[in-house]
This record gives sequence, C-alpha cells and structure tokens, in this order.
Amino acid sequence: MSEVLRFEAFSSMVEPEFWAGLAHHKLHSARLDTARATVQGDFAGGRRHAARTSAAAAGTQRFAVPARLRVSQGTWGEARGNGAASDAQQPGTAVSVSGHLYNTNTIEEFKKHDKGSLLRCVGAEILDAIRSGEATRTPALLWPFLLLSFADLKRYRFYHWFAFPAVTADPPDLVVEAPMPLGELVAAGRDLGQLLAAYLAFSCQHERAAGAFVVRYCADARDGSSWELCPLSEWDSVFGSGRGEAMLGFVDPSSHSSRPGWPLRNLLAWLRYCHPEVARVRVLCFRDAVLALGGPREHASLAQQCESIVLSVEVTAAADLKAECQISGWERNDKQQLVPRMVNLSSTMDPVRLAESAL
Amino acid sequence: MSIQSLIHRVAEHFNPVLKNSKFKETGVLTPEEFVAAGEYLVYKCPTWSWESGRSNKRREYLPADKQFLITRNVPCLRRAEQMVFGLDDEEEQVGEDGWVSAYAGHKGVGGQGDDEIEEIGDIDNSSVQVPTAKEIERLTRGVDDVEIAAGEQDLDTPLGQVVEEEEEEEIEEIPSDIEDIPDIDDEFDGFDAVEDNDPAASTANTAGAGVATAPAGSDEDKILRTRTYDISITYDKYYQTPRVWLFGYDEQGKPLTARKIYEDISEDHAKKTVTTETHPHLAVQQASIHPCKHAHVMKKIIERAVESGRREIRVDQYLVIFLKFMSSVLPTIEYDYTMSTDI
Repeated sequence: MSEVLRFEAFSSMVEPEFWAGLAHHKLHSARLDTARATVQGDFAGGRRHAARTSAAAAGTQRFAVPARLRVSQGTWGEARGNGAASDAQQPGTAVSVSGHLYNTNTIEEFKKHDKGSLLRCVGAEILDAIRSGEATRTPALLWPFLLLSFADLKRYRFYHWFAFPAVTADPPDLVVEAPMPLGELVAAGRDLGQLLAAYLAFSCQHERAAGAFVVRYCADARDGSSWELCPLSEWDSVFGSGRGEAMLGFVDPSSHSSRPGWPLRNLLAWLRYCHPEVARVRVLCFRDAVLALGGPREHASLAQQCESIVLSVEVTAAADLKAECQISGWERNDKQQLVPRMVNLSSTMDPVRLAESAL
Repeated sequence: MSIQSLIHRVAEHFNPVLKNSKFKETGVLTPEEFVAAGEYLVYKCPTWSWESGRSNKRREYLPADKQFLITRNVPCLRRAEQMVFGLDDEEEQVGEDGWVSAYAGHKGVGGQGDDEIEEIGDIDNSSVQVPTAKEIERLTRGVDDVEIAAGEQDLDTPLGQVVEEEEEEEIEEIPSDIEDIPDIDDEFDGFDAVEDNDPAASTANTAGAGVATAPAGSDEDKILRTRTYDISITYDKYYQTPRVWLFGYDEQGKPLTARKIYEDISEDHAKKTVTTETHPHLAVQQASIHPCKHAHVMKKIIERAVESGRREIRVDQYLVIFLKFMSSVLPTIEYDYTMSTDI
C-alpha cells in the first residue's frame, strides 16, 4: 500500500485562567500595544478513550479523541508577579511549546488581520530554526503556535483563532505500510516497559531536546537494554550503525489508529532538510508518555494499554527549503470551516470577585 | 458569593489544622495524610498531578507545590440522565479486564441486590473490598438533609462569569448558550489557497458528539468529540476532607454552563450537593461537590471494607477509594480510566 500520509490536527484547549491572564496583561502591561507576545502551551502523548459501547456489550471499546494542545495559565505567571505559578504543566512528560499571541484592539482589526501573512511569518521562523540547526537541538522550535485574539473586556468575551503552522510537503509524503501498533513490533511486554523507562530517562537527561528523538531497538540486546533513545543530533550514529531497528520518534498527541499527530509534519520538514539522503524512514509515534509515569506494571497490561504506533514513511524528495514554502494550519471548527471562536466568561477579571477570592 | 460559602471561608480560617490522624474513627484527613494519599493517587494514576495554583491563594499547611490535585481533559461520553433511564441491563458489570463500570447501580436500576460487593481489584496485592457505587449511594441518601443553597443560582451563565451590572445596557444581548459566534461574518481576509489545498491535513472524520451515538465498531477511524472535564481535588480544611471541583468544556472546547454540568451529575446529587463557588486555588468559579457528608460516607466505606475485606484500608489509599465514591456522584465522567485496569 502507498497512501498520502495524513495528520491529525491539533485541537486547541484554553483554560479560563489563561483568558483571565490575557485580560490582565491587556489592561496593565500591553494596553494598546498589539505587538506580538509569547505564550506557553503544551501537548502530551495521545490516549484513546475507553468507553462501553452499548448496554449489551460487556467489554469496552477505545475511541480516538482529539489531539489537544493546551494553552497554560502559567504563561502569565511572571508578567503578573503574584500570579499563577509558572510550573503549572501537564504530567512531567508533556512537551512545552511556545506560541505567538497577537491581541488586537478591535473586532474589526481581528477580522481584517492578514491571516496568510501571519502564518508565513511564523513559518519562515520555523524554516530558519531548521536551517540554523537550532531545531535539531530544540525540537520544540518546530512546533510554535499562533493565537490571534480580541479581548472584549467590557463584555468579557474572547474572540480567538489558533493556528498550528505546518510546512506542507509537495508532493505529500506517503505512508508505505499499514501502521503497526508498537505492541506488534515488539512482541515482549518486557520491552515495552523498557521503552517507557528509556523515554523517562531521556526526557530527564535532555530537557531541551524533549519531544523528538532518534531511537534504536535491538530485540536481542545482551545487556538487557533493548532501547536506545538519543537526541536528533545523534541521527548519524543511530542510523549509521546498522544495528537493530532505527526509528525517528516523537511524542504524538494523536490517538488515531493510523494518523500521526500534527508535530510530525514539521519534523519531516526537518528531516528533508537535515538528512536529504533519507528516502524512507520508520517513525515511532510515541503516545505512552503518561503511562511511563506510573509505577512498575504487569507486562501483560502494558501490552494491552500501549497506544504507540509505528509508521513507515516515504519522504518526499528533498526540495530546497525555500522561504516560499507553503504553510498551512489555521484551526478549523467541528464542521471543518475556517472560522474563529468565541468564549464568553469573565469572573477572573472582575475586581469584586477577585477581592472575594483573596479573602 | 453566597452567604454559605462566605461563612464557610471564615470558619475554615479559624478552624485549627487537624494534627492527629482520625481517619479510621471519623473518615477525616489531616493535610499530611491528604498529601500522602495524593502521592499514592499520582503514582497509581499518572493522569493526576499536583499543582500549586495561584501563589496568593496558597495554603501554608500544604507544600507549596502540592496544593491540589488535578486531572485534565477527562472525557464524558453521555449525560447522567441517560444512565438513569433504560439502561437496566447495565447493572454491576465487570468488564473483561476487571474493568468496573462507573455507571453501576444508578437510580432507576432499583434498590434490589442489597449486599452486592464489587471488587475494585488488588491494592498492593492484597484484596480490599469496598462497597459498590450502589451501596455508597444508599449510604449517602440517608444523610442528605443539609440545606445548600443551590436553588438561587443562575444556572445558565457560563461558569466563571459574573452577571453584568444593570447600568451596562446590553441591547443585543445574546443567550449565552448560543453555539456560534454571532457578530463575525463568514468572510475573512488574508487566506492563501494553502489552507484549502492541503492533502495531508486530516479531513472531516469526526463522529457526532457524545450523546447517545456511541459509534459502532466500524467507525474506529473517527475521532470522537465529547464533553471533557478538568477535575481537581482540593483539601477542605473545615470539613477536613478532600473536595472535588469540576470545570467542563463542550465538544468544541467552550466552557459549559452550570446547568449543562448538572446534566453530568447524578440527579440525586445535582440539586443537593453541588454548588458553584470560586476555586480555592484558582481565580475561576467552578462547580463543586459539597464536602459536608464526605467524612461520614468515607467512614462507612472504610468500616464496610474492614468488615468484609481481609485487610484494612491504609490512609494513603483514601483518595483512590474517595474517587470510587465520587463515581456514584459523577456516573458518566470516566476520570479513573487509567487506574481501572491496574489498581
């Protein structure tokens, strides 16, 4: 088989604390300044949702759920001084990414903003990070997001629109084999447990390199450590040795059975530029990051819960990474339309209520 | 803020921090025990994590980085009402992998089957038995004579919102339940053709949201959009028990109104024990299960477990059992789905 590789888009998830912080930021520091500001977000490995399908069915079935990118309240911590702690994050394995906030002053400005050029601007920065090698050291630079917003502070309404810029491949990359659950590639549950341990060790050791990695799997390793995870910069030593099964890995927010998450798009753009010789690569879509945090588990239950998949991707012949590269990524609504969203909530910026909560 | 919550806050301020463990006698926790039980929960179910919240709301009797527990993005597939009607055959099923139905034993299933005990699996390899959700509900039912003013609250304003003052005239006020953005047209400037010409983007493969349309097996390819909840557990110093807070999002990620959240809470509790108050560690209003009877119920559960089980419940297992109790209040929210297979 050979199909176009499709990606599961991010779904934005904004906590109300974030909007409270934005209102505060607008009133007290940014004011009428519409220059871009930096905000923080994160995503974690995707997990399917177990649900009982019908009253008659005794078992459970698992469904793919949207891949979330969460915008964290910690964003405003330092600006506010006394505000939310900046350490607020999802469980330790979440990948932190930063975003660009453009907060406009009027609804008209919000509507008229040149959405295409915003994307191209952030896209150019992604390409720069790839070219300079910065993205090799800090893969999170491949995944900035964009947030265009208008805060109606009188009515406590927040109009907003997210974009997750992606470098499109032309022609698109192909997936050449049916996606394989990781549990099939590594037959033994013991090996899965080791992968989780190896990932935890890797993410502690290489904090900046978190999110994407190169990984080698040797089923018959004598010393018992069958997995080796390294930063992207060690691509050559992992893929060059010829030992075991070398793969490109990333923390995959998707929980879809065959579609990898959005972060892989720009990671493949990185691959095209930094390793143009690669025509075909196995990709480990690592989704069990949260599972890795738990204590020791039974191998059987690990194999059952394992969500990661392995893809065989045929990479488009390396075109030059030009600045004119096409960038897409504005978030669509549930009907797949390109429209902004509005959230209506207010209490966090009401002085009366803040005084009450400070009691 | 209601009078009750104001009084509660003042009382909480003067109530001394509980020092000695009384958890077996009365079902209450000291802050230290809360932290220990939280550590156990985080270890067992890594979807839960500690958070510090706003620094100006920090409680000094808890570690700065362990003020409350939270789990995010918890799916909620169906409404509680649907669990009540017409699902009789769902009674007390244990799934193939020892997965206990969180829907078990709800109203409408009937009060029969008195002493069914359901295993929640091994805790540290020793089997501890706790009462079923049905029993827990029976325990709670006897003690719900406390008046909590939920009736006067405005249920349709999205949580976190303040009713606007009167002088601010809203000429074209729009019902807050409205689905889409009213005053933005469909025309937008500045798009390249790129957006519509992106073969690698996932397409409209989304399943109908949540209600009553649990897709059949053939639809595995679809993405299921459900309501989701952020659930947090704080330590309530006045009642000396954990307290659960809910913040809900609809299928598109918009905050839910209080009335909609009530749809996900079992009918018995929605009107009586759920209030909307300011979260003790955040600046947002959230729905909360009032903890006035928590200690009483927990004591009964612990006693029952000691009577029927082979071993006592340790204090660090408190929150795991507490969440089982909560599953009778929040029947459709599956916050413990990582835990269910391997406690």
